[in-house]
Amino acid sequence: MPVSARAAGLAGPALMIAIAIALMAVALLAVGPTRGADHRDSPGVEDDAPADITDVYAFRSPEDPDNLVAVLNVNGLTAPPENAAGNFATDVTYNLHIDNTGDLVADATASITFSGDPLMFTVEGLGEPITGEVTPPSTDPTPPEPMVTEANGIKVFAGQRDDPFFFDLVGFKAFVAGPYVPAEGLRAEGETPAADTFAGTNVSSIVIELPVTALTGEATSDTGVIRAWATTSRAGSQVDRMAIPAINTAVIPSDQKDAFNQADPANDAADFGAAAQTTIEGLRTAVNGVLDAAVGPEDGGPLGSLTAEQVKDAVIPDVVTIDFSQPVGFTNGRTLEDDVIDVALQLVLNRTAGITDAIDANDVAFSSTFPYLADPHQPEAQPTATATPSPEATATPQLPTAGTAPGEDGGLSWTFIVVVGLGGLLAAAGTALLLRRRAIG
Amino acid sequence: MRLAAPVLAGLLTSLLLSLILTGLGLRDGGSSPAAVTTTAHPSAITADLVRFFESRVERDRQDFVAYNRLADAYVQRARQTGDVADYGRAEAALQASLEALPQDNYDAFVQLAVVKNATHEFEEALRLADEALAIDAGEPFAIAVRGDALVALSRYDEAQEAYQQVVAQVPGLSSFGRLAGLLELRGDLETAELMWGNALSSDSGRRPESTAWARVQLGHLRFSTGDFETADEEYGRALNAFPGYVHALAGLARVHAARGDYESAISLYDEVVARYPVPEYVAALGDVALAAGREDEAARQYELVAAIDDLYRANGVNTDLQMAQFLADHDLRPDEALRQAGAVYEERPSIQAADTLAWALYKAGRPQDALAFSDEALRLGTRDASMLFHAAMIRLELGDLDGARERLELALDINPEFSVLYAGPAAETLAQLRAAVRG
Amino acid sequence: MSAVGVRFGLMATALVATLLAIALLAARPPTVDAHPLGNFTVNRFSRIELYSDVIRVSYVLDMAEIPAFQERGALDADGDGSVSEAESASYSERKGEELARGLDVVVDGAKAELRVLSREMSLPDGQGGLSTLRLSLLLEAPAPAAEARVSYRDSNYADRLGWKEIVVRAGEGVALRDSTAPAEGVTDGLRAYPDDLLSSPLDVTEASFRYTAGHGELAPPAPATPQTTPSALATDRPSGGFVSLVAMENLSLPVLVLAVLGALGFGALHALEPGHGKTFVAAYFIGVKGTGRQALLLGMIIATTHAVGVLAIALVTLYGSRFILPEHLYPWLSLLSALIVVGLGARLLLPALGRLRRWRRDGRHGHGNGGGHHHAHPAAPQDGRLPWRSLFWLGLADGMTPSPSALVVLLAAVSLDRVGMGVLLVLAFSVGLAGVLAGVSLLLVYARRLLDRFNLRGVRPRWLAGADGGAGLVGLLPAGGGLALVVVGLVLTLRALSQPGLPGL
Repeated sequence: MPVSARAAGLAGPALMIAIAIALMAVALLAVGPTRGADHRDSPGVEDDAPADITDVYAFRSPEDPDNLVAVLNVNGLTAPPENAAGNFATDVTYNLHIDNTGDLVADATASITFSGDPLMFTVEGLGEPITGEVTPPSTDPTPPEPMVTEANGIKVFAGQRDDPFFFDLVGFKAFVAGPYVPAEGLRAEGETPAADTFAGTNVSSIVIELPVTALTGEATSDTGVIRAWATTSRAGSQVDRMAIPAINTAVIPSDQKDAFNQADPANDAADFGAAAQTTIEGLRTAVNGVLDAAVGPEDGGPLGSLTAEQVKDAVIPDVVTIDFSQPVGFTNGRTLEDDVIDVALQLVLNRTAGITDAIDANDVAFSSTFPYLADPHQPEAQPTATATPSPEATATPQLPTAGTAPGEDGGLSWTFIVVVGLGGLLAAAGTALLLRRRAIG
Repeated sequence: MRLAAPVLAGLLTSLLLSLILTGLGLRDGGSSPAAVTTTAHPSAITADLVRFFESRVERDRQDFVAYNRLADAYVQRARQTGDVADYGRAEAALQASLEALPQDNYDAFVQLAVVKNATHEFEEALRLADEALAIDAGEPFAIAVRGDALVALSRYDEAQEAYQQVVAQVPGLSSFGRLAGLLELRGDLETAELMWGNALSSDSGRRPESTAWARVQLGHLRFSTGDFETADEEYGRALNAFPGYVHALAGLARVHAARGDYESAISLYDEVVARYPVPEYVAALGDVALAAGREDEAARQYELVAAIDDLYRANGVNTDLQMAQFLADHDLRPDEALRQAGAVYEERPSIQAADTLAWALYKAGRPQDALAFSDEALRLGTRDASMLFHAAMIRLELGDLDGARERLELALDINPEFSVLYAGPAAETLAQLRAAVRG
Repeated sequence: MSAVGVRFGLMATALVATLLAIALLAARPPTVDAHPLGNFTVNRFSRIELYSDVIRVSYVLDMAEIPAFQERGALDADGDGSVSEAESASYSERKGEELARGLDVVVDGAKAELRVLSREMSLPDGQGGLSTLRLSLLLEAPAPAAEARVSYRDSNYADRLGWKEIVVRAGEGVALRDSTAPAEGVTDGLRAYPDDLLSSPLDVTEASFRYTAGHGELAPPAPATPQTTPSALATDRPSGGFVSLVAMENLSLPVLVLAVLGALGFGALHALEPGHGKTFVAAYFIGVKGTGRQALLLGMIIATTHAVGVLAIALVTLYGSRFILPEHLYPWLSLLSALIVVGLGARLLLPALGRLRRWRRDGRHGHGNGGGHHHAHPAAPQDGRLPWRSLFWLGLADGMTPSPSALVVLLAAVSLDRVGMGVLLVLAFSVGLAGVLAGVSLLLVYARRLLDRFNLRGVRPRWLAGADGGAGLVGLLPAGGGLALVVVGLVLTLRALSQPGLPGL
């Protein structure tokens, strides 16, 4: 009794629809009841975003190459509607530490504190204290004009900016949690395309520009080496620290992260070196197990082929090293444009081929003038109608003010495609007929 | 087919053309004149946040970061509006987040625990908080949420330990506030008062609803001690922090009722009930209407309570003690009151559950059985006028006149207007008891 | 089991599974069907429709169980526990006025008076043995100017949770611009809410827009039940898109090309809409033996007539409306067009009937078509062939009633100072419309030829053609086509006569 292929082909869809309906029915039945809530529930615990350092940058000033620009960002992933809540905390001290002797002990520390209303910052540790006004975050449609304070040859900005970090955190986390052969960037097959998780969001930035020589103590800006890192502290105890991007996320075991955040670089090698090396080795093994067959064996990272131990020595202690006799850019310092995630991941995995998060640039252009980071994203002036985009809403175009192909909110309306297609078809048919006639005639 | 080729080419070209044209900046000009969102009302910000993250997850179905933030925004909105459906949305967002990143997703687990606490699935909340802590040990939010589940499950010692740990880590409104609430529950009103002070002085103000919540809780505390003046002030401050905060309005209504100003109480409750018709507030409106002599109005509100209960039941919503309390208070369906209170007590024997069960047993004519539960409700020394009144009535029924008088005196000393319905009878009973002693 | 048996078995299984699933769904306790937005929501929907001289608002209030229950004090006036007809009527009247007061329509800065035209209330079953409440209102405000900026605000139940939606659309003859609201709703007037959990209820309580009334076309639909208004307007969807073409900014060459292609497409789409001239074009071409060249010519005639017609009516609208109103012209034009169709049908039908009579008389062995039959109708199809003069009338009939949307485009173009663009788009639209009709004709020309040549294994079936090719099905075609034309023409005539604006009807 051979099953007719044709019969199966015909009945297949019907069967599938039936099964789908059945599954839907079961799913509906299985939906649990919602249960009541009472208003005595306590609110969420405030996260410590104002003390949580998201990134540190150090690069030569685009305006004056003799200057170094240092950036410290907190309040990561601030969504534009909540801009107003994204500001610096008055009980947190923000520190930029500089070691210019190579002993991993800070020789200079710029400490920034905030107080008052309007909020003012005070920078200490760079000669005379510098005080200036914080550019207040806003939810206006236009971003606030950055307020720049200049004193003793030092420029300071504190306020909200676009998060300059570009990185597919979503793909990265999934890939590191359980390696697979990525389809696009670090995303698995069948997933949505790689996207910059930080696109469209803001940070609170402290940007300081100062002469390189003031940091190195050298005669010119082309010599000397410094090591830098940033910390935040509250009531004298360190809350967070940061230097090389993604190190904390990628190589420090989760149960040691708090300890790591509260530690000093001088003790890093002793306290976290072994654990970091184990993590790197584990990560390599896991990734190789998947990629060796699909992509090929390790082909070396951006600094050549390095053992796990060598990589560990490069990232621990966690400080940004800048050798001013060399071009400044990741891993020698970090500019806003550097695609640090690709480099860091390639370094850790000792692979270049196929290791990229596919996000190569920031979502908005950087500024060529101080404070260099792009203007913050502001809440969209919401046309109320687009609150919930719906296919119907886009299907019927209205008289648009400007030249929209009538697909609202950026989407291309199917009606419009069909209509234009129909028009094109008609035009083509007409032309073809004419040509044909002429050919016959 | 000679025609096919040019026709197809024409179609494709026009399609391509339209796509290219649409891609070429033609699209960004289309924005309509906008209602600019300069409104500073916190609920408008929450609405914008919801919209922001909804559009993000729409674009990237794997974006666990956005799912987690979206869930947080939904929870915020649920707290602000009382729309329970938002908890369902939050849960759906978190399930999607966990699907995108099943491991190492601390935020999803802790937010899911928050949702489960809100929907009264406390065992599950506890499990999820533990799951979050397994990913990120020592995170204060997870510890706090774990503590919330423990309080609900009557594991007060563990809860207090957890809260103290959170206070040590993040000394702020939400940590001090939690501790204060627990201390209140345990009868330590002085320390609770102190903790509320700490909570409010360490408030960052970043979440206005949290500020309003704390003010309302403090208002309730002041009210329960009969200090209507300062309760009134706290509710007012809550409304300053979060205009229109419905729980603050209800608090004000209660203050007005306690002062005998039934008309303003009714108009405030009307506003509350229009926006947030939960049995507790509807019943309160009915009680005030009754006290004001509007029996029809009261009956209508009591009917509404019953209707809401039907609805909740149809939806499988767990109204918990509210309904049992309502039935017992109004001498309605004593068996049903007893059944509901018993069920809640069975699930988690909190002191409130014990008190309600005792009260329901008393109303069902079983004071002997009620006594043990009443004692259990007061085992922590909670200074709650209503609980003490229940205990007094049970003792009175059992013939323990001294015990009854003692507790009535205490109750009325704590708050002479503890209940629109029962403060009067309590005072009368006490007077009779005193007269009996003298006589 | 044979293949057919297997197929049958599979289908049967599928059917059973489907039925089972449906039964399963139906068996769910009815109580689980909560109001999709929660039991205490108050949901509001406004559909604003713009006509030449009025602004219509279809307003829907959908109260979930709890607020509906809270209303019952007001609903059940005598407190007998049930809502009588009279109670319901007086409630909806009061509520209607109350809701109308909560709606602000501001036209060019001045508040317009909204009048309740009709109201309809129902108490659909809800959860827990409770009912929900649904009140639909149709309101109207005068639109005093031909061009105005309008803002609309719904301040009813401002702080209640629920779905709040506003839709703005232009009726025929009105151009809508700068609208902050979409033209299509997502809930079908609060009847079906989206079930995507991760999208929040709409929260739109304000809308603003500009409109230009092109001395309106169709009068607004009669204020019967508000529910019917959405569907009645659903067919003019493409025209809305078409109108938008004229307002495109940055008139670069590619944009222009796109706009022209779009206009072609909209014209084609318009021709494809049900009830258009293609029915009678098709009927005619079935009835006659046309040639491909004639089909193309017909297209040209239609395109020209249509374009000229639109331009003429536009001119009348712009300059001659003091003497004659376009809305008065329209019914006459459609009547004329319908009468031409009837005439064409009659010319096709009568001789065919004669042939048919003869064919029956002569039986199947009759002697073909005899001569001398057509003397009474010199212009009628000879041998089923299409005479050129009829072709002209056909084209005229089809092209002479201008499509309202094309007219709107032209008027919008005039108001935007883009006459050239408007004319271009109307031309393209006409060509698109004509193209489809010509295509349909062409298709039928070839189909007819195919039919004429059709034979089965070398034998031409008898039922198709008579013994000598004169009668049979092919022989019946002119009669059928003619009949169809007459019927279509009569229907169109009746429809044209029933339009307002024709005297005495």
